[in-house]
Amino acid sequence: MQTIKLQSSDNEIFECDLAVAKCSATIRTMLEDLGIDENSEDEVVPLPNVNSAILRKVIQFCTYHKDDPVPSSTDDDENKEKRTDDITSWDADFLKVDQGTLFELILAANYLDIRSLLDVTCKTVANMIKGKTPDEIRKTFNIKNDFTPAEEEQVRKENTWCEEK
Amino acid sequence: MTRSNKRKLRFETMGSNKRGRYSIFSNKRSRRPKTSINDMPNEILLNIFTYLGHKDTLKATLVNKNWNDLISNTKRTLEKVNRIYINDQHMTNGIPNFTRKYESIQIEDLTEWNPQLLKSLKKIGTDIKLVILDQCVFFDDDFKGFLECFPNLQWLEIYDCHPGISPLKNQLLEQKLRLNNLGSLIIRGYSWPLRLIETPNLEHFEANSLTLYDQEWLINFLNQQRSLQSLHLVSIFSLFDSRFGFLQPKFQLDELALYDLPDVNKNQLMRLLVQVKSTVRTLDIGFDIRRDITEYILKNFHLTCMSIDYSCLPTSMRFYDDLSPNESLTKVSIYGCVKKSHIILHFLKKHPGIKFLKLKALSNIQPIRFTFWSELSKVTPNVCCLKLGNLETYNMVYIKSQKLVHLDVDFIGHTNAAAWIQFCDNNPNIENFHVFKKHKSINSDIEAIIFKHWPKLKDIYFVQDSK
Repeated sequence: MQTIKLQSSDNEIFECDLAVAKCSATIRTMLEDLGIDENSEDEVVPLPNVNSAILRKVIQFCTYHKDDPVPSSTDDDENKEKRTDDITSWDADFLKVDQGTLFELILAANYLDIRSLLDVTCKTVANMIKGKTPDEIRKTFNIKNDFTPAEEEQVRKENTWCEEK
Repeated sequence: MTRSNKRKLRFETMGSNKRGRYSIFSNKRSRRPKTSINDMPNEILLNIFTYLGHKDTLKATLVNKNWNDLISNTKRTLEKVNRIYINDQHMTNGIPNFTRKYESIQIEDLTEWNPQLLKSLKKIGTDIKLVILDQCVFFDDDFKGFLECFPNLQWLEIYDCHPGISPLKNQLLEQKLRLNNLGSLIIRGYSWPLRLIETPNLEHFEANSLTLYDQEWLINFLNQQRSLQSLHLVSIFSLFDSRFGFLQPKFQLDELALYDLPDVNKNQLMRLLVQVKSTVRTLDIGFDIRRDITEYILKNFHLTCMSIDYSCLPTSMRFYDDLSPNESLTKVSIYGCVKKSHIILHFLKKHPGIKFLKLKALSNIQPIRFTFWSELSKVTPNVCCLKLGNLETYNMVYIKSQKLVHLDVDFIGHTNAAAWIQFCDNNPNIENFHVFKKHKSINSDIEAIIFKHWPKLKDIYFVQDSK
């Protein structure tokens, strides 16, 4: 089994299967573009945007999912409301983490371009938004309400015209 | 239990040791504020928003300015909230001030066309592509004033809208409102709007449930159309009554639907059929249409796709004997109450090119009519996609085709293992099998037979059990 070394932002080095690392489109292109020889043992891929705690989680996720079929790349039916109730139990357990970790995983998935991890983490956040009032959403995520009362009233009013009876 | 607790404890101790070793880093990290949703770039927020439905998207606009701006200015999220709903009750909230872009408006039960409302609509009107009017009332200039708000309108649907008490008689008739971009118009109930608009580029028109006396406007309107490609005439009594004018169609159609037209004026309808006979490819013909009309169509049209009610099928053997075979018809759907099932076979026999056959909403094909089922596969040798209302022992054993790939059944009733084995072996190339309701006798044994005898099966689903 071929392996590759990945270096986190806090300089920890992780050795993992090449197939696992290649779940990341960013790493794939890096290897191709930089012509890093897959056989050379000493080569280390630096990942300055991912710390060791998150990189460990990402590798865990990719190891579990490395044999998954590649989802159809084209954005299928963008208009349709996408499902969020199809998170597998393994993924749900994997994402039982604090919000800070969840959002760092999203940033890592985005930077490393791991579509499946990005999808499942965004779905998880969407599920945290669903069914909540605007105020509950703000409390859940510690978001500051920067509307003036008049602005908020305008948005609220406009929204009433978008609701079906 | 104690053991697992122990193990957990040990694990935690190990963890804390480890944290202790890297204490410099962990202290640093804990001082840094935690990453939160406020640190997400807009592209990530948008990705999250695409998983929200209509209601949650609306609520998300109220969270803060950035979320509102993102949702209101991005096509992907705006698409979920880009329709305005206006009704009488709504109007008590005052006149809306719209700031987002909207593509469609649905208005119900509105009887007063407040100038302030029109002003508000005009402000966003250039983006509006679709307008749906349901049970609204218009007086005098109201309708024209309203439609003038939307210069780029492409789709207009008008359901049961009354012209108010002062009927639009003489006024405005010389000056029609020209809707250059309108491609599709559906009108149900009252046809008065037809006399007020000019639609030089209309491609799809559906007239539904018009009253007898509205026909003058309908005939005039049809005579003006040049670019129509699809025409649906549905549930109109005494259609094209000659008291109301002379039909002179100048359009070529690709698609035609004639449905529920009792007492239609045959001469005028024939004028339409003669005009469009060489171009229509898709036809939907439903009950209360005389059989001689269908006879003309079957003889003279070059259809590729046809949906027909049994009552419209010609019944004379002689007609079928004289009819030359049409190979271009590939998609057929037959529904309705069947009196003589062999008529269907005669019809199918003359159309050997059929690949997609739907016999779903058929009633009265009795179990006793096994000849129908035993002949069906013989007269439709090229069918690869078959959709049936029901599948039971009496019909399934007769269905036999090497070409059948897709089978879609509303209901599986009484069957047995022997019938399934025969059925599976008779149709060995099935790849997709969809069932919407099944009898509880379809148990795991039957499912095992299905999987064993259909090696090419890619996709199978049963929706629910019934008693």
